Parts: sequence; structure tokens; C-alpha cells
Amino acid sequence: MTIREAGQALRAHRMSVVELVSVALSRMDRLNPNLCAFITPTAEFATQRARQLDAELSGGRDRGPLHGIPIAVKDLFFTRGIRTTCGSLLYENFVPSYNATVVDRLEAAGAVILGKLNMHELAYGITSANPHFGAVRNPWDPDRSPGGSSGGSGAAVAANIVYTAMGSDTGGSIRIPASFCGTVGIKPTYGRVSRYGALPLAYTLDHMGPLARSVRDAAIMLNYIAGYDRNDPSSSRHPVIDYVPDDGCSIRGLRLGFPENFFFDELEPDVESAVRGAMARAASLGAEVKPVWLPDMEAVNALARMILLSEASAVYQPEIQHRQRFGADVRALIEQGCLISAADYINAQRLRRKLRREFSKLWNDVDVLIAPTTPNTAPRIGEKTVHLGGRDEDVRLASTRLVRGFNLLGYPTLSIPCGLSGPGLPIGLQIVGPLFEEALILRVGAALEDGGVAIPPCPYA
Amino acid sequence: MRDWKSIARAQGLQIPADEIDRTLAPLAEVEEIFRSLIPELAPENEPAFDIRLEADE
Repeated sequence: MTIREAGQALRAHRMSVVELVSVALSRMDRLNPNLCAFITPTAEFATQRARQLDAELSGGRDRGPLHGIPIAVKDLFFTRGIRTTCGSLLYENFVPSYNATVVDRLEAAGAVILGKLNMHELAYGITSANPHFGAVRNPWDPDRSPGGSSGGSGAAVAANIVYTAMGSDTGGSIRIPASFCGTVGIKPTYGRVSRYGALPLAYTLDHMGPLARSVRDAAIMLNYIAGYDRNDPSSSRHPVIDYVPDDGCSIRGLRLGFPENFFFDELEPDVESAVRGAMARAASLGAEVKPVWLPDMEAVNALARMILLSEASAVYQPEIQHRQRFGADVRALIEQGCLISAADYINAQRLRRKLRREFSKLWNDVDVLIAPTTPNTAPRIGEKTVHLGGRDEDVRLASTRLVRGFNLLGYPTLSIPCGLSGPGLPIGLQIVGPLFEEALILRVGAALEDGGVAIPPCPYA
Repeated sequence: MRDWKSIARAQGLQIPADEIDRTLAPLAEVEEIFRSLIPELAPENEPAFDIRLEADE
């Protein structure tokens, strides 16, 4: 069921908010002990809220499409009075005194938060094998990783516990779990969604966005969370529009860029064939598929890593003397970042601006870019390398290889499921657009979804 | 290329001997690409921090 369908059921009195929430809480109770998707369930709070929202609907107050919809948020979004661990011992007992802006906006829209979702420690990694709160498991195969860092968000949505969940993305952390868990995920333009009240990882790379079961559900979420926030110094005043694609939306005549370099190097064969199949479907729907040659993406990735290492270590340097309080992988990254000089960081930011300018010329030739989200499907939990293109590659570098660059460039990027691999694991493709063109990439995603570029529901769900 | 081990020692990082090579190896890899890009920079190339000052007003 989509958000729209659930809303129709509520408004036709076929179901109450309490019933809708109760079904979701039952699924959470049944599935979470194995999936480890939630760190802090908030069942009592959710039930109380559901009663209030039912009363509002009965009294004629309708907050809109999210009224009564069960959702969850990654455990780095501050929630007033509710523990917010950020997946870390540093924040194990942290109870914020205020809400993140996106939490405030979603609550005002009538969403019901069922709990705080597990994640990679401090959002600094892609496996979500959290050493303190347990490894999140992928609903498609519980022996595999859901990706990360928003791994609990991907697992909870794929397992049909919640309709949608908030994640954050500094180097792919929304799109990787979307790809591995077979959900939709959108990383909006930098500055489009407020970062206020979300634990920072890298100030100039952090993006907030939803994971959802469908493109239109993700768009509904974006309608509520997008917009200027005076509390976030990077927040944009660019106008917010209705992001939900029309029924029957078309991509006829749109120019879809198909990268000839980098993005199709060293992929799992099933990933390549699924993405090429989706491109063929786009062409059959009337889009013009154009080959394009992109600027040096290895350089883009290297700069993104330099900036991430530097900014994250600026946040955590004061804590690094307490080495035992960090998981081994996160500790190593923080220590690496402590060693990068100020001159190197600033030069990385100078090169960033230069590469952005070069990359922006792409939009003269194409409207959007389409590429695989990840070169691989979900790895097994604990797997350190994946075998791609005849060589073993660090699973973290492989999984971030195709997504990280768009954090540096700031472009909005949507990941949608486009097929299953031979072993039955989801495959994701990403649609990238110019700055603030979220409506365009969502339209392309919805047209593909309507056109059959989709996967069956997760069998675990 | 930087001598990352010396820099780590000079900074006072307490990385155990059996972890230091594994911890610092990724830096050498990313640095190699990064250094090759520096000659492309001209003095007028300014950094991109993207923090909007009007929010502080």
C-alpha cells in the first residue's frame, strides 16, 4: 500500500490511524528482533499520537497526505525527549531538548514516528554493522548488509514496517541502502532540506532525505521537508514547489544522459544489464537516450573523500583520545582525517568549485543523467571486499564509488529499484539532475516506475 | 607524498603499532589523486564552502 492508498483508506473510514499504526507496530515487534532496524522504538508515543490524529480527522482537521502515516527517522535526527544515539557510545544516553527541523515538519504534517532507526556508527560508513547496537540485516537476505549509513531506514521500509523513513547522505548513505534494499531514496540538492538538528558528519557534504516504497511517496515526503530554515546556514531560499509527479507523467522528448565513462566500469553483470534494460525502457517511453562523457569522476571522488575526512575529524577530534568509544572502522577514518592539513582541505574545496563548473556544462546537452547507484548488490555482513571487474575491491569504496561524487557536486539524485540479480537481490539506478531540479528527477523516476521499471515486494515483508 | 606515520606521531595520535599501517594506507591512495590535481589550480580559484551568510543575519 502506498501513502496515497493508506490516506484514502483513512479518509473513507475503512481504517483508523490507530489501526494503521497498530499494524505497523505489530510488524516492528515481529521483524525487528531479527532485522535490528530500530534502536529505540517509540510505540507508546506513536499510539498516543495516532489517537490524537484520529480525533482530528473525526473533527474535520486533515493535515494532508502524511496525516496518520507511520514513518521512522534515522537515529541522528534530534527528537525532543527521545533518546538519540547517532549509533554511537558518545551519544548513548543523549536526550535532545529540541527536534530536528525535519522532525518538526513531519510531525506538523501528521506523520506518526514509530521509532529511531539503527545506522552505521555516527553515519560514518556504509555497512550499518553497528558495533554498539547490532548489525542491521537486509530484509531481502538477512545474512546481507542493508547498506548504510541509513541501513535501518532501508530495512524498515523494505520490510514494510513503515511507509517511509528519513535518512541522511554524506557519501551515498541514502542511495546505497535504497539500492541494496530495493527502495526508493532521494538525496535532494545541497541546501534544499534543513540539516538543523541532525548530527553533522561533514558540513558541506551532508544531505537529508527520505527512503520510500515508491517515487511518489518519496515526493510527498519532500513536499513537507523541503524549504528554507534560518537555523541551517546552508539552507536555500530557492522556491519550493509540488514535487509529486502527476499520474501518467511523461518523459517523452527528455534527454537522458548515459555515461560512457566511469559509471559502467567494473559492475556486477546483473547490475549492468538491469540498468541498460531500464534505459531501453526509457527510450521506448519516448525519452532520447544520449551518450555523454563526464569529467574526471575519480578526481571528484578523491576530493569528496578529502573533504569528508577533514570535516568529520573536525567534529570528532576532541573525542579521539578515547579510542575505545569508537568502532574500529570509524576510529580509523577519524584518525586519518586528523592528519590532513588546512591547506589541503582548502585546496580540495577550491578544486571542488572548479570541477562543479566543469560538470555543470553537462546540463547543456542532457536534462538528467542515469547510471547505476551501486556497482554491486548487497554484500554479506562482515564481507570486507567485493569482486568486481576481475579484482577485489574494498566493499566501502566499491559501494560509494558511483554515488559519492554527487555529494561533492550537490546535485539532486534519486535512486530507484530497477531489477533483481540472479540470487534475487535488488539493483538500483540513480537519476541525477541539475541543482534544484528535484521535480524533474522525480518525474523521470515515476515515469519509469509506471512503465514497469520496478521490482516485486520484498518476500520477507 | 607525505610521511603520514611521522605526522600521526607528531600530532600525538595514539594509534597502536599493529594498526598504523592499515589505518594510514587509504590516505596515501587518496593523496596520490589529490596531489595530481593541485597544478590545475590558479590563484583565482576560490573554495566552495556553500554556507550562505544571509542565514546569520
